[in-house]
Amino acid sequence: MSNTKIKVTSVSKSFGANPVLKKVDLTVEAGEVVVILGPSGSGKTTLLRSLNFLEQPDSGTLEICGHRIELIAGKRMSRADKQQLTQLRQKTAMVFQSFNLFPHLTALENVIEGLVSVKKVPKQEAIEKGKKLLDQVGLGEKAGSYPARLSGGQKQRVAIARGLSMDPEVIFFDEPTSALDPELRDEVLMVMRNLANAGMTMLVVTHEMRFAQEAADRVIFMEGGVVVKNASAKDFFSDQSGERIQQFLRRY
Amino acid sequence: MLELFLRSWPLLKTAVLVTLGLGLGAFVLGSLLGMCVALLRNSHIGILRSVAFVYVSIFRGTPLLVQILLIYFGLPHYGITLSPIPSALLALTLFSAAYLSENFRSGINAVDPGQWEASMAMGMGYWTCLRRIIFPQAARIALPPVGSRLIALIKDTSLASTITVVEMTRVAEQVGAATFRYMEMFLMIGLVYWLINQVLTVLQTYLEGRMTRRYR
Repeated sequence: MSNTKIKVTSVSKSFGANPVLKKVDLTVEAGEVVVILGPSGSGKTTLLRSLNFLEQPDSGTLEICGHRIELIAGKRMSRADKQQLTQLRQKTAMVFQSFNLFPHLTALENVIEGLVSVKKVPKQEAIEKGKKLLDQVGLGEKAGSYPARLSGGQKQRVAIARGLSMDPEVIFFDEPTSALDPELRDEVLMVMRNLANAGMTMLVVTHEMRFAQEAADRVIFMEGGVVVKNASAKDFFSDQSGERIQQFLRRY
Repeated sequence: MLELFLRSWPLLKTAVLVTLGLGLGAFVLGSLLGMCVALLRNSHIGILRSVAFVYVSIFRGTPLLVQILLIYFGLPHYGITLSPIPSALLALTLFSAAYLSENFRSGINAVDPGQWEASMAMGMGYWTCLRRIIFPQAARIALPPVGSRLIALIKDTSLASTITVVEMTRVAEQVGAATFRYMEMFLMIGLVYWLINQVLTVLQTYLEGRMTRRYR
C-alpha cells in the first residue's frame, strides 16, 4: 500500500463552454496538509469538489484512497466506477463553507448519521463515538442542540466532527471559515490545527494565510484552471516569485 | 332540525363513513401515487419526466367531475366496469395524486442542495438520503399545501353523488326529496363537512408546530 492518498492526473472540467479545470495534476501524500490558494474563479473549489465527484470531472484519472476512476470525455461512468466512487466517498470527508448540517437533527444525530445509515454501526456504539467526537471539537455539552441554536463556529465544528465520525483517510475543507465572523474563525482553525498536528491528511481551500503559513506542509496556487505553483509552504511564502502570486498575497 | 337529524341519522351515519373513507382513502392512495409522480418529475431520465409531466397536466387540467363520469360511464365501453364506490375512489385518487405530486415536488426542491451534497459526500445512497435527510425537511415545507389538499379532497367527495355513491350529499338529496326539507338537510351536511375539516385543520396546526420547533 503506497502512502499516496490522492493522485490526480490531467483532470479537466468545463461548465458549458467555460473550462474551469485544465488538465490539473495533484498528488497528496498521507499525513500531508495541502492548502489550495488562488483568486476566486481560479478553479480551486471545483478541483476540491471534483475529488469526491460533487462536480463530476469531464476527463482525467483520479486515484483516491486506493480507489481509481478513469474518466474519458463524453463517456458515462461505468457501474464499477460508481462502486469505486461510493467507497471513495466513505473514505473521505468534506467540510463545506455553508456547513450543510442537517437542520432536523441534533448535533449528536448529525455526527452519527453517517455511522448509522451508511456504515450500519449499531446505534449505541455510534452514540458513544459521536459524543467523544463532539468532546474533541469542544462541543460535548451541545450534543442535544439543533443546528438552529448553534453559532456559525459551533456549526462548523459539528460538521468537522460529522466528517471525522466516518474515520476518513482524507478530509476536504472547502473554505471552512469564509462564512464566519473573524471572532468565530479561530475556534474552527484551532480544531483544524489540532487535526493537522494529529497527522490527518487534509486538503484545504482557504483564504486564511496564517493557517496556510503555520499549518500547511504544501501550498498549491491556482489561477485560470491550472496549478501555477506547487511548493512547500516554507518555500511558497519565502520565495514569492511570480508577479501574480505577489499581487495575490499583497492583499493579505 | 334536531328531529330531522335524528330521523335521518341511520342513513347519515353510513354516509359520513363513506365520505371519510373516500376522502381519506383517496388521500392515502393519491399520496403514494403522487410521491412516485413527484420523484419521476425530478428524474434525470427525460422520458420519465415527460410521462409525469403529462400525467399532471391531464389530471390537474380537467374537471374532477368529468374524470368521475369518464371512469364510471366511459370505461364500460372498453369492458372495464367498476361499481360506483371504486369508480369514485379511483377518480379521486388520480385527481389528488396530480395535485399532491406538485406539493411534494415543491417541498423536495425547496430543500437546500447542500443537504444532498453533504449526504453524497459521506457516501450515502440516493434512497437513504431521500428517506433520512430530504423527506423530513420536505415534509415540513409541504405540510400546509398538503393539508389544504386533504380538506379540498373531503369536499370533492360530494361529486361522487352524481354516480349514485351514497355519501353525505347524496343522502341529503334523498332525504330532502322525500321530506321537501332541502334547506335543513343541506345545512346539516354542510355543518358536518365543516366539522370534519375543522378537526383536520387542528391536526395540521399541531403537526406544523411539532415539525417547526427544532428549526428555531
